[in-house]
Amino acid sequence: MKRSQGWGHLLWIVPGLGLLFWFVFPILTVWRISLQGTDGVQWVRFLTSSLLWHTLGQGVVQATLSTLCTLTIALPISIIWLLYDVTGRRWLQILLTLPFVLPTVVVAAGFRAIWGAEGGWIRFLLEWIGFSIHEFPYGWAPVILAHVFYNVSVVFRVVTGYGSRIGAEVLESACCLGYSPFGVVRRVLLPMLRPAIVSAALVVFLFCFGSFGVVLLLGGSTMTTLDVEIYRQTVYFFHMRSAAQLSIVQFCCTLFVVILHRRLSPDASGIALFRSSVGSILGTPRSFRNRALLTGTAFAYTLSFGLPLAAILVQAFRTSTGWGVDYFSALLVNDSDALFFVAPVDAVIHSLQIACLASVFCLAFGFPAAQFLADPSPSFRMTTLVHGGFLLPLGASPVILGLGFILTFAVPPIDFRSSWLLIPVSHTLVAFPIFLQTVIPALRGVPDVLKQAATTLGSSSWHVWLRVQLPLIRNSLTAALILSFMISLGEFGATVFIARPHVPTLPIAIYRYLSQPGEMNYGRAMAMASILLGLTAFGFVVLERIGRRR
Amino acid sequence: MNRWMTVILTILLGMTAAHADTPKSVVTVMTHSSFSMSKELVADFETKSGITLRFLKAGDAGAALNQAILSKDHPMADVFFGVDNSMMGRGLDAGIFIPYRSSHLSDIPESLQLDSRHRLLPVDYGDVCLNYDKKWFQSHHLAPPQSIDDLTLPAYAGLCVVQHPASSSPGMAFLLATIGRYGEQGFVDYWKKLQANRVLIVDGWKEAYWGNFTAASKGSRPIVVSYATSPAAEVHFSKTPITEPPTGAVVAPGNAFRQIEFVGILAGTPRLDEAKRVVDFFLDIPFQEAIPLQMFMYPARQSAKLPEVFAKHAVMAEKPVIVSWEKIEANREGWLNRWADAALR
Repeated sequence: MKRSQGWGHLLWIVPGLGLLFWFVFPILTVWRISLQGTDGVQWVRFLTSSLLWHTLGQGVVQATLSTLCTLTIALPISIIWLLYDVTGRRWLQILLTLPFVLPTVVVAAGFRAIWGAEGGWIRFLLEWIGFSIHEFPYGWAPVILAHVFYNVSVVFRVVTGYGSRIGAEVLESACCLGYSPFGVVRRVLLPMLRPAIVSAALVVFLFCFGSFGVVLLLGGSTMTTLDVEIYRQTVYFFHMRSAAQLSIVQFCCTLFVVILHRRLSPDASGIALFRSSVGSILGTPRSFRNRALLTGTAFAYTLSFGLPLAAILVQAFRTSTGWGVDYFSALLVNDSDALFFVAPVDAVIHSLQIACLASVFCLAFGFPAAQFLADPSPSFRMTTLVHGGFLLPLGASPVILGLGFILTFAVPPIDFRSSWLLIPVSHTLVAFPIFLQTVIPALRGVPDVLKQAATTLGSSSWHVWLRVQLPLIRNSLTAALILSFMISLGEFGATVFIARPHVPTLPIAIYRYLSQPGEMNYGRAMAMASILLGLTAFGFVVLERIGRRR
Repeated sequence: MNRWMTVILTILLGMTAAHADTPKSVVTVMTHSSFSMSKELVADFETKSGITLRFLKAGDAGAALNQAILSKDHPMADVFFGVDNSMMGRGLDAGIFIPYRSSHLSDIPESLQLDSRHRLLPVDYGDVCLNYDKKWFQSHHLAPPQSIDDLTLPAYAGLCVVQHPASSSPGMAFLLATIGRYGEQGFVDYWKKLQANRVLIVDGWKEAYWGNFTAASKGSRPIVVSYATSPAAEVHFSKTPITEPPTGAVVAPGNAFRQIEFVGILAGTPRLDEAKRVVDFFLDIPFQEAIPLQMFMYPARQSAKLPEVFAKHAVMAEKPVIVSWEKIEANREGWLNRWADAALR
């Protein structure tokens, strides 16, 4: 395999330059301007401040707990989904992925609707078993719950995308050798899935560590993360120095986690068995007992993930005068002839355009980067650093990034501070790391033997890539595209801080309706959220189709 | 495969076509994300003046102002709309606004013109105060609160939800109301009592109103910090026509903080004359009369007529608490720290 020696180790340069220009450059500008005249004493004072250590400590504990809970909940269903044909398999897949796009305010509303007011059924249940909780319990519990709700999709998509290549033969032979089904999962399947699991866990950890909206909204007044603190320092105190220092710490943490991850996870290769169908590995469970058990589990997941979503739909359709589509038809009415009125069709079109563009950017920049990182040339020693660099956007505060765009792209030849292009670019930055982490394990899993065999049989390197490698990673690639698409559709944090002319996206429209009192505004927000849900589900189906063809 | 590619390409192409317009005399207005205005009015102004308005939104009022300050060497806008009196000190200290004495100022009350040098011109205002759920208090046979003092009474324990002043502007305004009312020492005690009385502190207005206020959600708090105009918005945005707002506002003397929004011309604009005309447009009667139903604030101009729903249901605070912007700018951080010590621990 000398193919990659020629240009393989240069693959990272284009995405690297893109990242440098759109991300590192703006962030560095903010740091440079904010840290002017900061001397050693001030650094020492900062590094010993309780602000830093309190925020950091709480962030680490919170992110670790969130990641562990997410894995605990996501892995069983991912494995069941991989192994067996359960009733409603495809719907379950879509359902588990949907939460990811929802704005935090909407998720909180969904949770609260289930939690219920006086007489709500969860509260009734709790009171019946002896707990009496009257208030929505702001703090750790809802934050972790929301993180699980959001991030199960990441683990599920990454793990199932990766695992679908595992062939039934391995597992069946393990069974023949006397392993119990649990033994097979523990001894054979989990080790095989390990690269994907570690990869997903890393992304989830970094997501929760940099959580902004969820912690602000559900964490109550005492919980905080670095992102939240950066926001408060910037917007309310205008302490650009503290904000910049905190964001440097955040970047260091991101880099540290990435390096740790590379040290901990050995090279994943040699998963040599695969098959092309996207069906489950073992098919329909044989015994009735198993079938009932699995269907029951799948149903439980459907229920717990579907309920908050259903609650949103219910709120969109149930008006004060009964059931109806009044809120939806109200979306079409611009009742005060507002300049920034968002017609639902416009918001849908904008959101779709931006999401498509962001996914295309992710593919264009992410794929070469993933290819490089999956198969680095041994002479290139900075792979870990490059990998870390590519994952850095996960540790970027949207406030700082918004400021960075404004400060950096200010001088005429590159004055696109207020260009709409910044929106898909910022979405790409957010989605890029996830794209990478989904594709890399799959690329690494492609056995060299196959590529070598194809080369021996006379295929050109281009042909090997197109005919051998691409078909083998197709599922992961589709999963990665779906995740990027979804991130862009639901992205709010970075979008709102970019100075932008009126290019409404769905989440922005939802927030606009929620910023004024009045029943119609709330109803419209819920109707808009339902549209976002429907659109996302539709987007998945389409992308899934694209992935399956060819 | 090819079909889908065609669809995607069509969408992308449509996008590039839709954004290729570059008009001639463009004035850029930077503002916060809650800014809203009537399309017709803006179009009308554009045809009459030959100026094209371009609006840039960059997060909440604080975030937008920070962006304007940090980009002052290469300003990205000509006019800034929506700095309020809790933040104006920061903008004025940074020197990003230039004075403009608009002829419309003569019709604006002196009490609103906080900047004597007219770098920032008042454009609208609203009173932040307690709102309560009328039905809840009726069915629980309890009198609605008469003042913010009442919140510390045992009868009102666990009934109120407020916003975190470090992440929400109504939250900050309510903190300022307590500082103005109880003094720079007394407010700490008040918040300690409030905390002992199980006040709920959430991140922002949306979470407080749509998440916890009994009149607007499945929450359990019948008292919320909002605007004195919110009851009017409840009537205006109700699904079925109602004659009586479901909520009330506590506007007794010394119980509200008046949030005043300003507009200013950004220093370094190459289009000073056009910028002045845009500011005049914001202060002119048609725009002023459109403010209530677009942003649910009161117009700064005395002679602007209020829409019916406002005249009937919106209330104005009598003698709102006054804290000068200079004092706010000098003490914001210290106050927030002392607030956090009293209310969060």
